[in-house]
Amino acid sequence: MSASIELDGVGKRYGAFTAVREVRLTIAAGEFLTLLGPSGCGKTTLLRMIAGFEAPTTGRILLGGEDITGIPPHRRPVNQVFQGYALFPHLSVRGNVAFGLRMRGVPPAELGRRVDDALALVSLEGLGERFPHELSGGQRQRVAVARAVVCRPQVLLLDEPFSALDAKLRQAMRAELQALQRRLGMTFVLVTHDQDEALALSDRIAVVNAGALEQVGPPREIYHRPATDFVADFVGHANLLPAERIGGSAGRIAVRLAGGLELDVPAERWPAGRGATRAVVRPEQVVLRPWRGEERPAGRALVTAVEFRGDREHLQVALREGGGLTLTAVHPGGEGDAADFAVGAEVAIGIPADHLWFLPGG
Amino acid sequence: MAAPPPSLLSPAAGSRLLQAGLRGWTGLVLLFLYLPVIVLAVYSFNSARLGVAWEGFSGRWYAELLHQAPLQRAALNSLVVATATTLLSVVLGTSGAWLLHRYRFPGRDLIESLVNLPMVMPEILLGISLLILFALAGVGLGFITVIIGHVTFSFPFVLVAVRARLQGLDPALEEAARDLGATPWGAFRHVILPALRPAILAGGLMAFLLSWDELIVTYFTTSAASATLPLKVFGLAKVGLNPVLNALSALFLLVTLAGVAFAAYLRRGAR
Repeated sequence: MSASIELDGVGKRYGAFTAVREVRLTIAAGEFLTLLGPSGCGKTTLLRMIAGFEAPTTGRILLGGEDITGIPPHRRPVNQVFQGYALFPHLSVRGNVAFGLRMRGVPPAELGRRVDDALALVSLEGLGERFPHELSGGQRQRVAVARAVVCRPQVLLLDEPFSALDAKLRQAMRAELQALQRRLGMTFVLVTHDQDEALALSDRIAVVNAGALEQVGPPREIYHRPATDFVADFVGHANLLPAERIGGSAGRIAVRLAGGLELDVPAERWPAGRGATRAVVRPEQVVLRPWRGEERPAGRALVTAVEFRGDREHLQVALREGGGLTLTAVHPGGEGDAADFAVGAEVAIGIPADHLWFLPGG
Repeated sequence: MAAPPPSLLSPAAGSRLLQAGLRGWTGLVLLFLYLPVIVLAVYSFNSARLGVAWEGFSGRWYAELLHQAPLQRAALNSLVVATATTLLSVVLGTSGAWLLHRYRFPGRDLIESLVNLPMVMPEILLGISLLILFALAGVGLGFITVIIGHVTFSFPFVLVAVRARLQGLDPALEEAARDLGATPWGAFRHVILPALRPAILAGGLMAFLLSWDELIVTYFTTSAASATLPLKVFGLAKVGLNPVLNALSALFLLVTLAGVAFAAYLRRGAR
């Protein structure tokens, strides 16, 4: 696949404050890439530099191989769905969608046809004469999407497009947006602080922290094989357990985790050449059984808190050995075994060794 | 908590009394404000030439207005001055508001507070200082000087109205326009300006009304040929009250009221 966007050492400084530091990233044509990070991490500045609203202080931005760093926003073949949608209040839905085509001098016949197509694409046929204040939140978002894609940009930028919607609608619009991206085959760059959104929608996620890229990869890789503490903790919940290499043979490495658990893990999951690092134990990887006394003492723990969430429950368990180390575990919230996993109950802990990930950076 | 003091009236009856009292007071204030205007309008239909005695309904003073060439001339002057003032105020006020809203530059805060000053400056001061300025600059008094004088205190009203509207505007609108291929000017022309229209109209109307009934600044900056209607009326009233003046004032009032009503309507539409 050819490259759509190339960020070549792109950085942005505001006086003494560095918002983005020398980011290098290649986004393939037709890819759905998400810039994920906490607020103030620089992801929005990065997006604004691609759109042309901010000029980078260092580096170049290439679009389809062409340097667009110095080109003003109105001459970039890039369009954006804004956070609050920024629909033009004095124009009807049609007027909003036609705006970009009119600015580019598209002849009326073609303009009418393309606006119709764009409205059909987002299922807004028949609402063309309405004004933005007469629309629901979901309809407004569709207008914003139609207004941007009607210009057939090489890249569609989306700045927190779901933040103005309530939770139910957010789910529905998410699925719609993903379907739309597949259908158009357009490059999408989404900015969000919502990890669920990023995991559900993206081909690849770029995790941004303090103005730099922490890790770039497919959602499963980001979740199951985080490169840094930050990624492990920001995407999903992670129990980070100190781990120590105690031996190894035939493609496997013997590891002792804090709390005394000893496991044989596949060698490829252990950072080469390191004696100690930390294991990323996802809450759903922690297997809990009622304590019956037959296990080695290392697997023994005490339930200290239970949070019932309907389809599952989140438990805090304190390891018997390991200096009061506490793990978060997820357990199906069935009615039958509630007493076995109540606060104060003793439980046995198991962690499947084959899918445990160890932080490469320690 | 202390018990409420014993009262002869139940709380409900007390609040009813208070309400009736407030209503009566409001009525009195309104009467005080509008009675002179109502009397004037009524007396413009009094057929008596002299005195305040009612001698019967008549439209003759309105008919007589048609034969008063100097008054018609003054009314036309007023219209010319008010229209020119409005147009200039709208251009100056809108561009000034955009400048203050959109750009950061040294002296911006100073300009922002200075620009509001003519709104509250005593008109007599404004009139005298303008007169001195024009004299020093060697500018002959006439339409131009009157219009400059009127614009001086009118355009801040447009600026303030437009500024308020700009502050309520989503800053992403301009970026959205740029993103969709509009040049900076195109974004202003096609997105910002339409959004500002209600404020510009309301501010412009305000400028028109201020100019339409302005007396003092006009007095200092006009020549005989460019005398406006309020100035003419003022001159005539000094000589003696005259039923034609009543009719004229009633018409004048009608124009003003229509303007105020229109401005109120626009302001409602802007919300």
